Amino acid sequence: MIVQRLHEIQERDRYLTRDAMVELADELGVKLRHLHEVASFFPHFRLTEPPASEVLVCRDMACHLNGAPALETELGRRLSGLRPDRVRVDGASCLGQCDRAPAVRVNDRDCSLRDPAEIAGLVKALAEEEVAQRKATPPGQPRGMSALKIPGHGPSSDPSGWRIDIYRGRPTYDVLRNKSDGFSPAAILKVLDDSGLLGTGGPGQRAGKKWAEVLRAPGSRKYVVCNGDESEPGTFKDRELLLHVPHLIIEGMVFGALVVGATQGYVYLRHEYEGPIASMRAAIRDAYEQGVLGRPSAITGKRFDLEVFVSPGGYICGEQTALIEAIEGHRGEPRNRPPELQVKGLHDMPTLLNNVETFAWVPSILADDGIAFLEDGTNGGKGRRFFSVSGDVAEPGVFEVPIGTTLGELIGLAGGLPRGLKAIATSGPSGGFLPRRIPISKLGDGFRAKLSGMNRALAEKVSENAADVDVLDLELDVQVFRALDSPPARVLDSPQGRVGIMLGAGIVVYGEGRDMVDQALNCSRFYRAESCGKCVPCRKGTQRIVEISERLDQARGEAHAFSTNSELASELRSAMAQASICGLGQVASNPLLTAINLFPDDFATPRSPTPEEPPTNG
Amino acid sequence: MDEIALLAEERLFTRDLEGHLLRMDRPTFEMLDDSWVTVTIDGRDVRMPLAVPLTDPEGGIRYDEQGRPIPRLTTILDAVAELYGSDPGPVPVLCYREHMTPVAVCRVCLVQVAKREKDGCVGRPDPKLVPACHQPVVEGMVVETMASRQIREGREEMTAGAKRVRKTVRLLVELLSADHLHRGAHPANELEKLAERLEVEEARSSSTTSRFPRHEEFGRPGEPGAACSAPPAGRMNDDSSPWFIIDRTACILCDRCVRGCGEVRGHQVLARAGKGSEARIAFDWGDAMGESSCVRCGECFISCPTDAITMRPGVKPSPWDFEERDGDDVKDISYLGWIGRFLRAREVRR
Repeated sequence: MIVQRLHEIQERDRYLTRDAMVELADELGVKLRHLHEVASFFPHFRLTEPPASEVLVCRDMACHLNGAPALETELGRRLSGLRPDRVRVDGASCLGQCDRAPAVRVNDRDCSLRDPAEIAGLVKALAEEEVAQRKATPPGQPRGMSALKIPGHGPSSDPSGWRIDIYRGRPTYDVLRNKSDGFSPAAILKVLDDSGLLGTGGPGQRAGKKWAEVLRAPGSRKYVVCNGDESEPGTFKDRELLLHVPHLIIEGMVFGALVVGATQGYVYLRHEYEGPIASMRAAIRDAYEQGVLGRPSAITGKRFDLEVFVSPGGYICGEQTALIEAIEGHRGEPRNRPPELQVKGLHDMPTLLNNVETFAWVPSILADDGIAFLEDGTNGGKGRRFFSVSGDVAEPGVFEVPIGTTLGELIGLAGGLPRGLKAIATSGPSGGFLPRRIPISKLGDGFRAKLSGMNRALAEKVSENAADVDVLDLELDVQVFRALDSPPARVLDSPQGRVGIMLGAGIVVYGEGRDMVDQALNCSRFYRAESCGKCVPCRKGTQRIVEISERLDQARGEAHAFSTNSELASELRSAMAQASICGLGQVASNPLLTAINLFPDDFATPRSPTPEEPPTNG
Repeated sequence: MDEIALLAEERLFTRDLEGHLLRMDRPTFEMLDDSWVTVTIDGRDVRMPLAVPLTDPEGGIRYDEQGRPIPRLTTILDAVAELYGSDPGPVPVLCYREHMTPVAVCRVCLVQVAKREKDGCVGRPDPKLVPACHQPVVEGMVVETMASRQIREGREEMTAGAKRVRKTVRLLVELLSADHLHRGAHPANELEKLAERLEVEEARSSSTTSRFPRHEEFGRPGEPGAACSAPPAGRMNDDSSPWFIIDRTACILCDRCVRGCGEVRGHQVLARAGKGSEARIAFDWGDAMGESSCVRCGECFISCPTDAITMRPGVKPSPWDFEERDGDDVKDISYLGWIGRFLRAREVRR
């Protein structure tokens, strides 16, 4: 409730004034300090009057590679003549537009312009319009509509080949209709379990197991929550799913609600996704009209209400317990676990929380009892999943592929490697960077035996006495990546030398000539900006990892500086991994540590001039 | 993103013996007397009730309306105190106060946990360390603190678990000292004491040999990480109150003042504000302390473990002073209780 009201007030007044907050505290019966602790936590909320117009340039990964720093500097130069209360130019954390790098937002809207002159012109015109409106309209009166249009993006992918959408874009909820007669939670759980559907957002746990746990948990109410926060740099596949197939997400959530016995659901979406928010809201309206949602549902006979919850921002809100805190109207800080959300989640009630894609797979799996899904893998993998590919590939985008597809094949779908290959990040920044050839010595002991035990093709490609593995041969399968990173007790030992290999949904490609020290610094800054600050190891550690990265960047080629700073980074990593409350602190040092471990040469050579094209015409 | 949850696999004590997920709440009255568990701490067994009575700031037991003690779940820290005594004990604390809800944010009370299986063997330790102030005791839990010792070849030495715990906690204290422990800290400053105990005084902010040279706190404007939209008001030092001085550069964000103000006193004036490296304590809508709705009850000052909230020199709290200074500001505090606790706090801080 609090977050929704803050959104409304900011929409009305442009920022959260003290007077409005005193009034709101009174209305909601909460203390002023509570509104302040919440409002000041989230980057979307403004506590001071914003400039008349504002432009943000994404700083992270693919945008960093594709000229974002130069664009931000150029915009700053072009708009520097204007007073700070008129225009602000700033960087922003990943905006989920990595396939359109460098991503730009103007006045809280996605902007498709990339030419600095055009952007600066628009921002200036918007500022002038705003100032004129301020003069013309007395305070508190509704403003007129803006005459200026901020051009935005539509969807980027073509869903016609997606097997996930059994309805081909025309949501009839047939699977739900067919399964409603004699609905059996046990039968649904069995199909999900047999299908091997894994959570597609995080650690890749079996989805069916989670559903069963929420079903079993006692509670007077239960909730179903969809995590559509998608703020990991390099990750934008949920954006396309939300734009093209919101009905599948709804249907998956309704199945979840029927199985666990939930009556209320939320789709948690990042505020920068205005297109996906609109598309999801329209699909929810349609589902109410079709009798899929609401009371009493003509189809299911059960009540389930669903609404969109717009996140006030921050990568940390994708951490599932932080997301729940935000919905409850608290600071989006992760909880100490256990307890798990399955037994004690939203409002302390059992809560089923899955990623957008996980819910979206449910209808197609249930439609034929998972048969097609199971047959769909390749190279020993089972099922399908979505990946976002960005960075130095010819055609970045979102791709639905069979699990077990190799990284090389996926990159082929994204148009290939126009500038060669130096490194790949396989889980946004979280897993750090892998080189073109990964030395066997950096991989988990006995991974080859594990892979051949799982019938994975990769086992055949790596011979007994091979010195390394070609990164393009890696199969996109969580289980393969786990085998490469075993033994799992790595956190106990010095992590030096062990790569934190992870598979997420965001694949970012770095071409030849890219400077991995610069990339490590870039990713380390992302984690510092996004640490919530709750626990000491992450709040302090993310800051120090940035400083160490900066020192290493300054002291290239100095062997002593390299060894002392590397040791310090390794010590910090160990403490952050063992002591942080949530996963952010655990992975925040991975970009720097993998750069040190796998790209030591980059620290010994002078900084290469950024091999990027300057922004078009000056 | 919950990609960042990738490493956050389930912790060791997430489930009960039947494999059901634990809610870890709702301690019952029966747990106070009737349910006991045995945990092993540093090689010695300790029997603990599953719940202990909740206490008030004076250390007295809190009772419900029917006159029964209110139970709270017994934590590892309680078991450690039972075994070693609580002062100072082998598990340091900063953000923990017995009468406050544990928040487990400072992480200096981390310990290693492992599980004793049914066959009596101890399994592999949890890859993450757990906060002793927050983790409830569970049957078969095997805990190692930094005091854990073993005899090898006739010599006593730290166990691997103890080394691991000490190394991690020591680094956390080093990080805190580097930013927040200034020259001339009050001798009762709990961070200072802990830095001495773990031998990391050279890390204090004024040090020239620190591995973590002092940096601008709260981020530099325009830098990534300074992306929070907080107002500048009340960001750093605040001497607007006639009684107290706030030095945010000494603040470790332990949340004790916040819980003192909210939970203990019920005023709810103080809170955490901002995010990440910009997080800080703030009054009301980020107001200066002297202009906020603060009633000067002093609970924040009593609760503060560092030099972040101190009393103005020359302010001498005595009942007579209170009479002279009386007014609306201090009307709702219990003078004598406050004075008693204040003097005790001073004793402790000395």
